Amino acid sequence: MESTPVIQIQNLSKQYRLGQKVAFDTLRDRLGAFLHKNPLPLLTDQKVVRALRNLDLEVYPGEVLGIIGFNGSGKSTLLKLISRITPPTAGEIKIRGGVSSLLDVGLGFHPDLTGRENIFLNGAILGMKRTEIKAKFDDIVTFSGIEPKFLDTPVKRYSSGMYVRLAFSIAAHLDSDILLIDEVLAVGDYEFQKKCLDKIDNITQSRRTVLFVSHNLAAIERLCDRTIVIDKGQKVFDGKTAEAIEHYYSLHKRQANPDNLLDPGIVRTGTGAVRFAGVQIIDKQMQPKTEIAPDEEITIQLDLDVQKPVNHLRIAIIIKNRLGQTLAQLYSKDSRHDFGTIEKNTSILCHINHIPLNPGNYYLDLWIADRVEVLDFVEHACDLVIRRKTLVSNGKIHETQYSGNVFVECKWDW
Amino acid sequence: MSSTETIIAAPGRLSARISLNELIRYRDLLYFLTVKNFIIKYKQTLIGVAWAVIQPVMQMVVFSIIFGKFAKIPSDNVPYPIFVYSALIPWTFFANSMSACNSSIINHAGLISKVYFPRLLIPLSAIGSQLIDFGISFIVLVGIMIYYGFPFATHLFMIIPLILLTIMTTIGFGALIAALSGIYRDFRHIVPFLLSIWMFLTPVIYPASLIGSRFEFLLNLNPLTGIVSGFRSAILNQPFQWNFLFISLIGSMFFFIIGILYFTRAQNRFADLV
Repeated sequence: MESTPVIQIQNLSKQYRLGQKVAFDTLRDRLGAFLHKNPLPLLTDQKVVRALRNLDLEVYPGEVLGIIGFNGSGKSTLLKLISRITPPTAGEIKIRGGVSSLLDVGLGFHPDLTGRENIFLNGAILGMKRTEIKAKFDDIVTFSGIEPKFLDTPVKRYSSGMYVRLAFSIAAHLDSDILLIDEVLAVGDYEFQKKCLDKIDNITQSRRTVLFVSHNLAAIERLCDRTIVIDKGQKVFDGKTAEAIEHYYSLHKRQANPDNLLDPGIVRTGTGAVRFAGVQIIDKQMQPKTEIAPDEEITIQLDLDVQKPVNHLRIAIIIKNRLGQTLAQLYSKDSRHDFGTIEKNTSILCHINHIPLNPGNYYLDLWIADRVEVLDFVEHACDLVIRRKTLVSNGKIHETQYSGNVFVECKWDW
Repeated sequence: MSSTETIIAAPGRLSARISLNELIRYRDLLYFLTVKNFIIKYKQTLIGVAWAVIQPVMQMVVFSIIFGKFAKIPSDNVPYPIFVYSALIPWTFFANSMSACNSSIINHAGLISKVYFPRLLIPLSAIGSQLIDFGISFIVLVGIMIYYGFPFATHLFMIIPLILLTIMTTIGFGALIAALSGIYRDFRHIVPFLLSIWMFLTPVIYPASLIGSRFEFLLNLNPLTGIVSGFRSAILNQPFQWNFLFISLIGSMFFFIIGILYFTRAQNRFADLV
């Protein structure tokens, strides 16, 4: 590894004003302060969000650095500071080389402009020269898979897929020394996402430096050698990607309460006619648990808070692994169960004879809908922890190494 | 992009001074933003760019009827239409540029919060697209001059330095207004009526000679006075009022520097405000 870092960050902090961002600096405040000789209202501590706190980071040439953390942890703020979109409140950033930031795809795309016009405009916004865009024009169009005959059509006539493909293709043809990428992979259909990942793979192999922010842990694991974890504006981990993901996951594991595993910090969508109020995982002895053994018989109990009577309920429990990949979907409609009309608070039980998961950390998404609309949808509602089996053989403790998520019971013979 | 530059982004120091190099490096973006502003202005209109011709001509006709015919405002012994049109050329460019700058930062909020580029390109490109209309208004002028049988005299050469002076003034005020309305939303509402008052304080529909010498000094504080009366002298082949022009030049330079400096100081806050 070369000795001079391309990005050197020291003691970096960024504060925002809470709520209405201009609350303390309107013309009225300024005029009032001027006329009445009052000082400007001072910012109090409660009204300041410290998006980043005293962050140090060094990134070396050719490194592909992953940045993970919960929503609002400060990941995106970090990229905005490095890309000079907004100034830091304190601290210093040194950068050696040209930086391109891809915080969004299709920046500056105007619906009334044609595909061709937008390629030039967007390319220039991303920092490309006109000659450079001209030279890459055919590659960009080929990569996007858009038929050349549509190039002179305003992009508002494009399907959303075409729009996104074109936008990403331009970004994919940037060749600055340092690339900052935020969540742009969350676009397009599966085929195109795969193509984009491959393209990023290519970029990372070209000895360029890439900073990659994503919630897609599978993509982080695939692309990054080193990953930092940011929590509440601070860097809490910096090291190998696999360990970083482990650390990120451990942040999730709060003091779990067996009587209600529902994470207090959840974000809900849906109409709210019915809400998930609690989750319990109950073992054979009818005891609520925070951890269960592989292949154990369990019952998942969902407590419903019913605001108004509903019928034809459909409920789904989605089991995901720590990379966010869906492993199973337990859907009441698939089991042809009809709950009838539900008028007041109640509990729904879902029995699982054998939970076919290897030891590790998983989590559940909960979804409930009536015949027409989603009533409540909670992503990452609670953790599902499968205990490690500790085998004691010949007086030694033997911990099994598991790989893969699915537990398949088998017997060997010869 | 150069591979060995070091950017130090500490508070306050972040592009606190204007980097001419950077503006030159991003000149292609200025071009594309200008073209975009121009294209979307006339896209999906039936007659397209013809509006750039019709607008000033209609304004000339309306002003000629109201102020020339009914109000009988004196026009230094030239036909009122060409008298008012010669002043409307710089004034319309200036006023339209101010309106465009006034909403420019908010219109580009998506870009400002997601990507870095010299923010000054936003008001500059807003002015740039008005420059195309400005050019078209000269083509119309040639037509009007031929129609009224006005000679293309030597004074017309002064048009070139006058155009440069107009652009400098427009950039100064444009940057100032863009920054102010980017930070204080109140300016979005102040600027339109400020402009309508400003027009009547500028000798557009009346000759500068109408103002008595007692108020001449007041008129001079307005940098547009020198520009508008300069255009009129050049086109109508009248003697230049050099004192107006000189004061206008000083005022324009002053506002050019103030506008750019204020914009550069304010631009760091746009991303957090928009």
